[in-house]
This record gives sequence, C-alpha cells and structure tokens, in this order.
Amino acid sequence: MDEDALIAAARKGDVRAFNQLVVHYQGLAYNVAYRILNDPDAAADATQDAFLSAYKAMPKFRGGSFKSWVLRIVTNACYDQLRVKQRRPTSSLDDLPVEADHTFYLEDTSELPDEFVERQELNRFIQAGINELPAEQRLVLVLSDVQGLSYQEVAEVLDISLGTVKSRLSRGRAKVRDFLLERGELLPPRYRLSGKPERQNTGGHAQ
Amino acid sequence: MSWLGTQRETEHQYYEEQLSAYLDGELLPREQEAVEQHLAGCPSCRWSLETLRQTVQWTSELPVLRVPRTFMIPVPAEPARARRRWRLVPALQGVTALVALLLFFAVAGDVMLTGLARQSTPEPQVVTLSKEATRPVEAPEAVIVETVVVEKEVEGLMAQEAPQAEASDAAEAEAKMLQAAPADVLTVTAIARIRATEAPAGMGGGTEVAAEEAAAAAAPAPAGDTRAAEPTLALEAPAVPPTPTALPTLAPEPTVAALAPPPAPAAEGEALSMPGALEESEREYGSRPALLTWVRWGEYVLGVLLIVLVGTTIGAMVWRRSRR
Repeated sequence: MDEDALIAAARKGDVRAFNQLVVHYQGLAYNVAYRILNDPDAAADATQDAFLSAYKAMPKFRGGSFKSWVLRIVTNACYDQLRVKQRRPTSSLDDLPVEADHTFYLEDTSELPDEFVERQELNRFIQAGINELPAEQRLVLVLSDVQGLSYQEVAEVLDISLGTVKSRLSRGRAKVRDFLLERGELLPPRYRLSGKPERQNTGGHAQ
Repeated sequence: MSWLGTQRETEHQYYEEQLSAYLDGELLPREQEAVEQHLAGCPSCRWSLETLRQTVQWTSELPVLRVPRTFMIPVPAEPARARRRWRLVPALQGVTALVALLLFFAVAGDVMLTGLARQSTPEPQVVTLSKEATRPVEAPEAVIVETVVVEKEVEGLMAQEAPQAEASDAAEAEAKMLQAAPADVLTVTAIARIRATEAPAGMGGGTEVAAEEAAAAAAPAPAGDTRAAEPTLALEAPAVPPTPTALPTLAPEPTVAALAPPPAPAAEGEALSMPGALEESEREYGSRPALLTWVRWGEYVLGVLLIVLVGTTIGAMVWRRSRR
C-alpha cells in the first residue's frame, strides 16, 4: 500500500494502516524529539504523544505533506514536554547523556576507535550547543541542519515565514558555533574551530 | 569617522546575518553577489562563513538514533468490537429481508390457494351482489364438489327446521365452525345474523347494503389487525342468507365472507385472518388440502419472526449510532 492509501485508511480509523505510517515516520519523529529535548525518555514520551494526537487528528488532515504534518505535531508535543520538564537554563557537560547508550548507525565504519570516541565527544558538544538555544531557534536548527529539511519545509512545519526561518537559523547556527568556540580547548584538536581573526577598520567594534 | 565606523559595522552585521542563507544558496542572485563582494574585503566574514560551514557540517553528521521502542498505537479491543458490530447489523438486515421475502411468498401462495377455495361457493355471492349477477361462475366443477357436499349436509339439516328457526340453527352451525374464533366475535356474528334474518326474504337491496357496509367497514381496517377484521367479516356472512335463492346455509362459510370485498386491499388480510374458521370447516368436512394449513402456520411463524427481527435490527442500528 502506498502512503496515500494508508492515509486514506487511517483517516477512516484504521489503526493498522496508521501504524504502518508510524513505522515509517517514528525514526524521524523520535530523532527530532531527541535533538530538541536532549532526553531519551522525554523524547519517547513526546513521540508517543505525537502519534496518539496524530491518530486522533487524522480526520483533520487536509492533504499536503504528511511528513510536515506529523513533524508539526511532534514539535508541538516537544513544546509540551519542555513546558512539563522545566529545562535547566544551562546544561553542564557532565549532565550530557553519553550517546553510546544508544546504538546508532555509523556511515563510515572504517573510522578508527580513537576517531570514533573523539567524534562522539564532538557530538555531545554540538547537542549541548543546540540545547542552549531558545526553543524557537532550536526547532528550526534541528529541522534544517539535523534533519535536512528545506527552508520551505521548515516554514511549513512550524507555520512561520521563510524570512523567520532564515533569521532564526542564522542566529541558531552562530550560537552553536560560538558555543563550540568557547569550549574549544575541551574539544579534540581536530575538531577545534579556528579563532576569529582581528578585524581591521572596526571603528564601532564593541570588544 | 565614528559615524562612518558605525555605518560600516551595521553593514558588516547585515552581511554576517546573510552568511547562513548564503551557505544554503537561499539568497537571491543580487543578494548573493553583494555578499560575495563584502566577503572579498572582510576577513572576519570569511572566517565566520568558514566556521559556520563547519558547524553546519558537523551538525548534519549527528548520528541517527535508533528508536528505543516502537511507537505504534496498540490495536485496542474496542475497534475490534466495533468491527464485529459493523458485521452484525448488515447480517441482521439481510436475515430480516429474507424473512420478509419468505413471508411475502407465503402470503402470495395463501391468496392463490384461498382464491381457489373461495371459487367453490360462487353461487351465493353472485346472487347476493346483484350488481355482479352477470358475472359468470368461473369455478371449475371439481372445486365446487366439496362445497356441494357441505351444502347438502347443511341443507338436509335445515329442511327439518322451521324457517323461523333457521337463523339460530345457522348461527349454531357457524359457532361450531368458528370454534377457534373468540367468543365476542361469535356474539357479534349471532347478533348480526338475527338482524339479517329479520329482513324479509327477497329484499336483495337490503342485503346488498349490508354487504357493502361490511365491505366498507373492512376496507379501512389495517391488514394486520385481525381482531378488528373478524367481526366485520362475521357480520357479512349472515348478510348472505336471506337471498331470494334461499341458500342461507352456505353463507356462514367464511370463505364467502372473505370473498365479499375483493376490491379492497384489506380483504386479503381479512382472508388471512380467518384461518381458524376455514381450517375448522375444512377439517370437519374433510376437504381442502393440508397445504393451506401449512402455509398459514408458516405465515404465523414468519410474521412473528419478522417482528422480532425488525425490532432487533432497529435496536442494533440505534445502539451502533449511539456508540459512534
């Protein structure tokens, strides 16, 4: 059965058809929730809530991109989770979950164990940087840079304008970059960003 | 100089903010060109662009996590029950329709059989309803034979009695025949009979009026209302006896009564409502086939079954709607 047929059946209350859609989208939904919430349990709760809401809301689905529709419900569920679990304003690196707890797919298995460990370290920092972002920037950055959605798709999911996507993403990326820069000495040497060059002709430079 | 510096700083900030979209190729060609011009003369922005590119690259390489469990919605028992209910209602509807069809065939068969039976006594009817006197007797001889036996028997009985006693005798004979009928019906019949016999013989007009009255009374009666229909028919039966042809003894035969209002649609229902009397007479005189009896029984059973099924089906449909 193709997606349209499954959607049509699910709209009529066919749980089995809906569950086929769940199987197809649960990986995306869980990963978005995890990157936004940075907590496996909260991410699982948000994902489950999202799919339950989606099933109930199926009759309201008016065509278009089902992926965008599901992601909108997932991000709303994440907002709810954020509200429930008052996130700590800053997360220390000690609190960051070690991602080795999860099995994940490695695209390049030729990586040496050293590199693997170092890469994991970098990933923890990136996740911590994402975690520092205000919620609206975090959502845009996760959808765009982690999941690879286009500006148009992100705008659709979050129901915001293209210009808003552009500016939130710009600020979010700069903040993550600065987060990594600030902790540069903690990162493995190969993942350290080069320092900012001294600017000339900066009459109004604040620093 | 300070003003110029602020101006340049604002411009620099503007371009720095464009770098993210520039990376993604999301700028208009004109904007892209402007950014590139700025980049050429701004090492800070070149650095910014490079570090942003690296950050975006690393972010996009974050591992895809495997879901810790499935997020499929459990298929609850509720929808399964709903599905079963969905099948139950059409099944009920189908069975109800089938029973209704069977009942229709039973009634049709009954009407045909009754039609044959009623032709066995065409004589009194034709004479009574003078308007239709010209209608020929179409009943085949074979069908009449059994009736003739009945006629002779009852006639013989009648011959011994005084004309005055005719009415009560006939009423008795009828009562015998209508053993299965309720008492009140018999009473009404007896009263009607007495009234009918009081009319002078040969007054065909009066008889006709009585027959028409009966027909009129029978017509509006609902087909299913057997109780109401019976007295009407019983009333009509005695209307026949005081005809000039002096064939009163046959009149109580309910077949004749049922025959009287043939154009009225309710007449069929009335004919059906008299099975008790008909069966009785048939059994007594050892005539009409047992087939008709079976058909009548089938009608009863199917009728009751149909009522129960219609009730159950409607109940199930209402329940399903209320559940949804």
